[in-house]
Amino acid sequence: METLQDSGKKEITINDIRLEVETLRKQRPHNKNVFIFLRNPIKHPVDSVGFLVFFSLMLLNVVFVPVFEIIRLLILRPLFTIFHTTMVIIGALFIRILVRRLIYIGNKAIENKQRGIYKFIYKKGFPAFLRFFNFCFGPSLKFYLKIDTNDIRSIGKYQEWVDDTLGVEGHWIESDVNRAVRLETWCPYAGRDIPYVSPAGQDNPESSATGNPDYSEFCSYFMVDWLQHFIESCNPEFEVAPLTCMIPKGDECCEFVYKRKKPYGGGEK
Amino acid sequence: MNILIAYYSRTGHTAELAVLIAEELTAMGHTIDFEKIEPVKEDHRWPLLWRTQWYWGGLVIGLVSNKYREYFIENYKTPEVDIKPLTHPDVSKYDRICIASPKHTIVPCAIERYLRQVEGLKNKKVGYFATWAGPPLKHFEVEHLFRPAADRLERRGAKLVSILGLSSVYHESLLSG
Repeated sequence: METLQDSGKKEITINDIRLEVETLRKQRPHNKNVFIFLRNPIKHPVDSVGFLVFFSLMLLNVVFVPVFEIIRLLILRPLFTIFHTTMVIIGALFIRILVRRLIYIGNKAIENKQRGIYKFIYKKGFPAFLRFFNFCFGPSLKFYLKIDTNDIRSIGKYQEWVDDTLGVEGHWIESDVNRAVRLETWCPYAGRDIPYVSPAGQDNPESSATGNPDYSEFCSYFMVDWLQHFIESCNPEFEVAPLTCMIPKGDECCEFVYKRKKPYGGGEK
Repeated sequence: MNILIAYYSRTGHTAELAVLIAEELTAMGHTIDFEKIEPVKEDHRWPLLWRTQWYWGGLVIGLVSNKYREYFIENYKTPEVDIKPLTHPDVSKYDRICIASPKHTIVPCAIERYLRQVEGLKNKKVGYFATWAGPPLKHFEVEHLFRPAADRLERRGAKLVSILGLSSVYHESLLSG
């Protein structure tokens, strides 16, 4: 649980501000208004250089930015929107057809103890596939879903989209500058829509080694890894916490906690 | 009432206004706390203007097209600067919050960061007062500062209930600009 605490910085009183104002007032030249520098000669070298650089660039911007903006809004933006929308539709079909099928095969492989297929899907192929998916469709999804990479809740739209595509039901219960929490209340895997076998029951050495034998391997391993990879590509300041509540474990819902690695305002206790 | 005045002042004008408002509120029987918002590195005024360069070009189309101006105000991403650790990072204990800043053509970069960083803004009523050098033109001065500020506050669950602008050049006729 993250809590905020005061930083221990000294309290400022009104007298401190009065003192600060007095000091600044002495430093301040007696300008009547902002246009004073147009009438008076510029004495400070930084000011003269700054004046020249800034105003020459400002004039350039006044001419060129409107041209860029018109090209961007009237030509590039519609083209990009068409491109990204197409990519997102392809991505959704890709997930719907391939990922569900792979999970199905993977679960069947565990059920039948076909170690070769299990290793291929769960150890080599699947993580690489998910990362490849992010590589291909991540930028389009970022654009299409209007993801603000500084906002943790906004990055979470990716999971909403994945959930909608896979058929998982969920909602957000918390959204903050440091944290966002999503609960998933129904899942086709845990609900046996797609056959799911807990690896614990199969005497699986990989699951026993993690110390969480009841966890679903797909979500605790791949889903978190998949989201983490996407989040890192958006903003490396954020991460997904390891899953603690999960439907296959017997909880009512799965809880995905997105958080800032170094939270603002005091940090974690 | 417990009030926090969070102010960012470069040359002292906003701090002066903050003192005046604090004196007035104290006389009315309110308790005032202050938060001084300080950038880690305070820029000279020219790089400060350089950061907002895109604004100047956008402004030109804004003069011609109202639709573009609306789009620009809603979508222009104000740059941010790092600020020093806050005295009151969580403002949930205050009944009202006042934010004070100059106008650096748009919302100042330090305030932009403060509004994103400060905690406990949910369901708070916030006042915003600002000082600037220039006429209080309706669109290019008032709208480009207070509307984005209201938007940021709304995103954090707070409501901007009152604004006050103190301009160095003021005339009623300029308000129509």
